[in-house]
Amino acid sequence: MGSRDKQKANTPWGYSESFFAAFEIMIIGFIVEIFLKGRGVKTPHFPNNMLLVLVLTIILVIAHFRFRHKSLVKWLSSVPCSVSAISVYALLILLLGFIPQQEEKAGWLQITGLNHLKNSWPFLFIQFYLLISLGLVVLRRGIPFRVKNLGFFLNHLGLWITLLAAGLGSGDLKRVTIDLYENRNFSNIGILADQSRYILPFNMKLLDFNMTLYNPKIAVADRSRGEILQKHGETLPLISTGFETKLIDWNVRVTDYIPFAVKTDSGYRQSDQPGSMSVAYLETRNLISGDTVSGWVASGSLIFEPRYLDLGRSRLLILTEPEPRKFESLMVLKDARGIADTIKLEVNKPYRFRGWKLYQFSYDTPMGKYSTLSVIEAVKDPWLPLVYTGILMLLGGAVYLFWLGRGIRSE
Amino acid sequence: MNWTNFPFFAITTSLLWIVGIIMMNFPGKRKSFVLAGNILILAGLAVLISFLTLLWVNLNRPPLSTLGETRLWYSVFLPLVGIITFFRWGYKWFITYALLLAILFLGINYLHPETYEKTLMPALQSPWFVPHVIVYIFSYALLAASSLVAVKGLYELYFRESDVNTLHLADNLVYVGFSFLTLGLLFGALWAKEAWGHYWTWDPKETWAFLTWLAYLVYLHFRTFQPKKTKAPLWMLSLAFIVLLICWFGINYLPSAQNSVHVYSR
Repeated sequence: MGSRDKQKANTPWGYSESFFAAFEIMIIGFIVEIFLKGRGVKTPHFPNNMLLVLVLTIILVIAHFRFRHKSLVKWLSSVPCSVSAISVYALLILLLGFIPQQEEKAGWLQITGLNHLKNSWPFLFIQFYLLISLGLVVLRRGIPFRVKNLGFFLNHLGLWITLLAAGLGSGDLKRVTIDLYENRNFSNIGILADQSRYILPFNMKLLDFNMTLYNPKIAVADRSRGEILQKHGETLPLISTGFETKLIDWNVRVTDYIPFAVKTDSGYRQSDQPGSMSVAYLETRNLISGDTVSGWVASGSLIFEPRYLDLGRSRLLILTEPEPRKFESLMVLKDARGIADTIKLEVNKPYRFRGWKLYQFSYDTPMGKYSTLSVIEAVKDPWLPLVYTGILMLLGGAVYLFWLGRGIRSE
Repeated sequence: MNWTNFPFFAITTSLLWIVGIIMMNFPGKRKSFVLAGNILILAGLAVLISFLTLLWVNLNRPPLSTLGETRLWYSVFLPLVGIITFFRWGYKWFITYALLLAILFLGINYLHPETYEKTLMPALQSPWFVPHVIVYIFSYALLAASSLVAVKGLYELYFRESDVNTLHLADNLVYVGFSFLTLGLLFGALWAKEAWGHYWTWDPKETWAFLTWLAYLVYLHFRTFQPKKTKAPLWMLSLAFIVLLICWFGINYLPSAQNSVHVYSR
């Protein structure tokens, strides 16, 4: 504690001055934003962003080694300065958390930058204020390196790297979606977020879009209120042939279940044609009155109406539409030299190809299982390794904080 | 095993815990009583964990998707936090508080069971799902505890004599809670990269999670700089918890959160 008191005594500015400075920086940011009519900041691309990183690093290193005893540098690496920077940064993010971030043509939200805060001048200024303070803090306590400062080092340098790489690296981030239809030719046309085209350095072709579904569920619904009734804590059962369960006041048995069926004159038959739906033949017995009702229920689809089983007294037995369990695309990738790769792309399992990461993004949802469209997302983020380095350091720092904590015992 | 079996397990656990609390707080410093209390508390925890395990097996998916399921985990982690703090720092009143809060959460689940679905959407079928949510809930349990300690501290500050130990306990809880908060946030980012193509998209839940993280970050820095000041950090902790609560379920009502992937329906 002694060293901290000393630090405080030697630091010219305390909390009020630091907060004053941080607010001033933010207000100057807003003034710049308004002056530029709310056009925001364009994140620089390579090599300008890399240049900025180098310039910032060099300035910080020089400031530390040449001017560390000057009061400005001392103040910038002090706790009040850090706290003011984090607080005002948090304030801007608080605004971001409340105001929907959608750009408009005009209006005061646009002019002040409040509807595009993460690309606004005040945000940029405060982020640099934070990075300068954090960078100097790292240098002050990180050099010379001591093992007891390991946790400090991992947390602070890790955060510095993450914020810097994520912020400036976003200028080089490319995210495009590609619409692929089954059995069409190879395509390399991606669509950017602003709907403009982006030509990918490789080609893709969709062989097959495939979806597996959960079995449908049965539920008792109230006809007049149109809602599903449930006894406390009971799971809506997924059905299959032979399945038997108790639902509210009824015993229900599934005597026949066809996952994919179409309607015929006499009933239902299994079919894989688009628009097929789940159907089940149910036998029910009311546990109180003993009444029995049997019949078909159908989940309905794009083509067919759903079908309910009337249990009397405004109660219906319904079959819900099956929910997707898994969907995937079987596709061929071909790079510029003609080298091909056949892959299966699935949600949560991206595939890396020639510096890009490919994701199963979407499909024609109304068509569901019978969609012939698969939307693929391709992402290129050259700064990712640096961001991950920062994240890994922060993970290490968090574990360190957990193990060692501060270990203050009850007195 | 189903939620219909929940009352049996909840009542057994609660009874074990209540007897355990009484044993631990029995007047006089009898070591055997404290030991017996600890054993009962652990037994209660074991009963609850077996319910959780069986539920997991029965649902064929981790029971982590609904608010009711997160409450169940909360009731597991709070006593765990209590037991750990007791063994590490020796706070007896704190384990009592943690258990009572856990019993309250079990009570809420008993009175308001929800719809428990077996299905799990593809985006949630990831190895990151379980660590991400568990680490978060554990962290929330610790930080909730720290804010309660802060309220106790404020009470002492304004109506009684200020006790330096109160803030020390809060510090210890925040340190561990914050480290888990960091893990949860970063696991979320790493998962997002695998599932949605980018590690950070300023989704409202992400924004508020980051805000929560910053709020506790301010607290930690303030404490290291001026460890003698007590009033400001106590208020900070209480406020930080409000941000956390907005992040946990408040964002469902925010205008900026209408398209979030994190808005759990029901």
